[in-house]
Amino acid sequence: MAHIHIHLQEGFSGEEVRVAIDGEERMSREARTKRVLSLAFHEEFEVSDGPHSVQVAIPSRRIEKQIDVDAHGDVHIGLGLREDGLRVHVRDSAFGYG
Amino acid sequence: MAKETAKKKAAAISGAYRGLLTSAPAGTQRLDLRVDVDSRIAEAMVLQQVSGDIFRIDTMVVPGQPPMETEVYQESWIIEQPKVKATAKTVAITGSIRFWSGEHPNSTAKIIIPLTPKGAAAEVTLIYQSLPPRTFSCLPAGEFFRSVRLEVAVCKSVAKEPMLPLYGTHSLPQRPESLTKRDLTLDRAYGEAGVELVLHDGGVIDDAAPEFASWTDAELHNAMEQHFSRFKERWPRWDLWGLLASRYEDPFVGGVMFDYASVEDEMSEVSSQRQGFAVFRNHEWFKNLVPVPATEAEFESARRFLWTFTHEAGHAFNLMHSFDKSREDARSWMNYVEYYDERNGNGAFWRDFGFSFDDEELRHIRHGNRAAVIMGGEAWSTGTHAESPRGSDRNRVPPGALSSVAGDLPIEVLVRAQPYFEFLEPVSIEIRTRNLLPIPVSVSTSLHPEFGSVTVYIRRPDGRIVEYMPINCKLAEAKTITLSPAGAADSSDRHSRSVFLSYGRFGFYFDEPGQYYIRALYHGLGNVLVPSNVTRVRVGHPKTERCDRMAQDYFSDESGTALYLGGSHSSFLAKGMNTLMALAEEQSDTLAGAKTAARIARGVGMPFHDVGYRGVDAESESASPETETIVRRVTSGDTPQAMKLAAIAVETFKKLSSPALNIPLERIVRTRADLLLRTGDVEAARDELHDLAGTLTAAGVKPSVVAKIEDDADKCGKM
Repeated sequence: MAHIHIHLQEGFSGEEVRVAIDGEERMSREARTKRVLSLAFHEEFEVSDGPHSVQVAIPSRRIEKQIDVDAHGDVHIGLGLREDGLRVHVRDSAFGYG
Repeated sequence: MAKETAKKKAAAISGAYRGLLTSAPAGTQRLDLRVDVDSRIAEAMVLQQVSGDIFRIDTMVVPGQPPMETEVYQESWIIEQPKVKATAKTVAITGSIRFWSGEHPNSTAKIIIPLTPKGAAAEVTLIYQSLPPRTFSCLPAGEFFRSVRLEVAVCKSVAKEPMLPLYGTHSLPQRPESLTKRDLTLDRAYGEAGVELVLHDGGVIDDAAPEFASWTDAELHNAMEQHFSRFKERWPRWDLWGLLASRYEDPFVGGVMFDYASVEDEMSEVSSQRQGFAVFRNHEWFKNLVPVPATEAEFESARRFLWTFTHEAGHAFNLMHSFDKSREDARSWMNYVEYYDERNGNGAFWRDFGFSFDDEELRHIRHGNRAAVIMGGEAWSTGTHAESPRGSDRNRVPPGALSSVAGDLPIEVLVRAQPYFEFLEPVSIEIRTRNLLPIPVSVSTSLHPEFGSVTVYIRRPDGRIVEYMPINCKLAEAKTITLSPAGAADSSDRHSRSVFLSYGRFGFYFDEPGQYYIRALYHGLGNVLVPSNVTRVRVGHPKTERCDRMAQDYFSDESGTALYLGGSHSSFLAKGMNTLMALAEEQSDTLAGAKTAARIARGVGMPFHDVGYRGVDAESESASPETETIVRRVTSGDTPQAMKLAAIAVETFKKLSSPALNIPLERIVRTRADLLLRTGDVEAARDELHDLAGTLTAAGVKPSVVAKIEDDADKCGKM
């Protein structure tokens, strides 16, 4: 089994964020960034090893984004909400905050 | 050649200087000066700037005791382009002064620093256009620009070496080629930033409770309140608390400056921020942390340990992340390694990072507005680099100014208010003075801006700080009350009064939903100046569409003035009074309606006179210029309407029963009793007061207050 970690990072101020993996909704939550950490929260989803499609939607900003990942072990997806849209950063190793 | 050698040998003059005003009025101000024009600290960048903080010194003479001296911080300034001229004997620095905020005349400074004898005082003259120059004599106070005391506590579960960071800058190959080899510790990292960090042992905290796994911000704040030896002191101050803890609630967090606004939101009172941070030893970053690193992984952990401590302490100096300041590529302690690498390639941060803050951050730490830098000063992420909130250029005083006190104060000034006001609800606060001395002290009875003894500052939701300006300015002989020595059992060591703040000279002050901060400054007898605490109030949103529509008429000068005056029969304010009456009646079951009713009831019930013309009816508009001007009675008061308004207030205050409504309830019932006495109904007036006494007794009000009401009830009609 593999794990997809969704990190909601900078720029969130109470928006509802929906995450679906391979079409199945796995999370719908309000996100508010703690600026001192540049992190709202992170959630972890168990998936099978192999390719997966992660769909992120922020309805209030009319943002929808699909991120394709090949999950083996841990995959970390960092999402930042900026004026010009959603910043996406995918890493094998964890993000750190301070 | 010989000249060059001589130049190199000249001692550096950068560093801190401190001294008193020597020109008239001598000794009443102090200056903390920071000169940053040449290299004195190894690896510390020279910023070519000079800055200063000015403090006001108040002296109070207490009979039989040595004079008490207090210092109140006033303001900070900076010379951004100093001109430096050195001779064999002195260094002269001149330049234009920019105050961080507030209105000032054009100002310049001339600083003469003698090179010999060693330790001689610098002469600092501040020259204000159209004002007399002010000269300070400032002695050298060390090579660092600021000094901070850091108390570090350690949780028992992670109390193993190393508990503080140490990293050799050449330990790993990923580094800038030009990086100077040195062993960096937390205090050395801050030393290179120009700050003396004095470390103190904060002891060990036992975190071995079996059910305890990780820390939340609120738990960290609570731990700080209990363990930080300086927490109970008066803030802001140059003190900081650090905790080496096990794990944060989110395991990806390696460190946190936990003392910021969202933690404060959970507290009822406004507290200081940026007093503490934590580093989490069980984070993945530190899994290879050992006392003597030897492998690459161990050095990486040691480097991260240093980065995390320095980064979190940086937040306490009010530094935000680099990417929050649109400086994503900054090679700074305040940037995130992963974010930098994302833009510049894997491993780029450590390859480029010179183990320092960036220039703007150094400028903030060394020369920034003191209130925005000092721990417990401005809230985190406010004032950081703009140095003052939006719109503060219109302030009469800088934000944070006159809020910081050093030394013992003779009295405490406390500002209190209910934490939440409904939209359109009149806003009043309580200002209380309390004697802190073991001897009686006299204070002004007129704790109100109208008399000039108190100044009130309001920070509005948009961050703008405004001074509350009353409509009336009252010139009266100073009346004083003598407060009993501190701790008097009958509370005679304190004096308070309510101050109405909704409306003033420049309109409504609480006309937008959101959070407001209120602070008062008490100008006591002699030259004593005492700042109060800061209290926070929230104004709610309109609850109904009707309420929102009423705001259009309510926020008018006619309504505001009528409200300020406590109701009026003036024909000029008739429209405003109609709006207030409509609000009181339509919103009678809300505090907005009830308090408006209470505020205007007395004015409605009392006689009113205007200036008219003899022989011309008060209602007539046709007065000839030759007619004699007289004061005439317009009305003897509308007692039924006043009683109706008072009844609205009494009923709602009783229904919403809360300790915060006890004083308004007492006040409006006394108004009703007065109105009844005016109509000759002594019995009813007496009943009102007895009924009030019963209500307040049931509400747990102090027996002495209830006894006074009962006494007044018994005296009804006998005076």
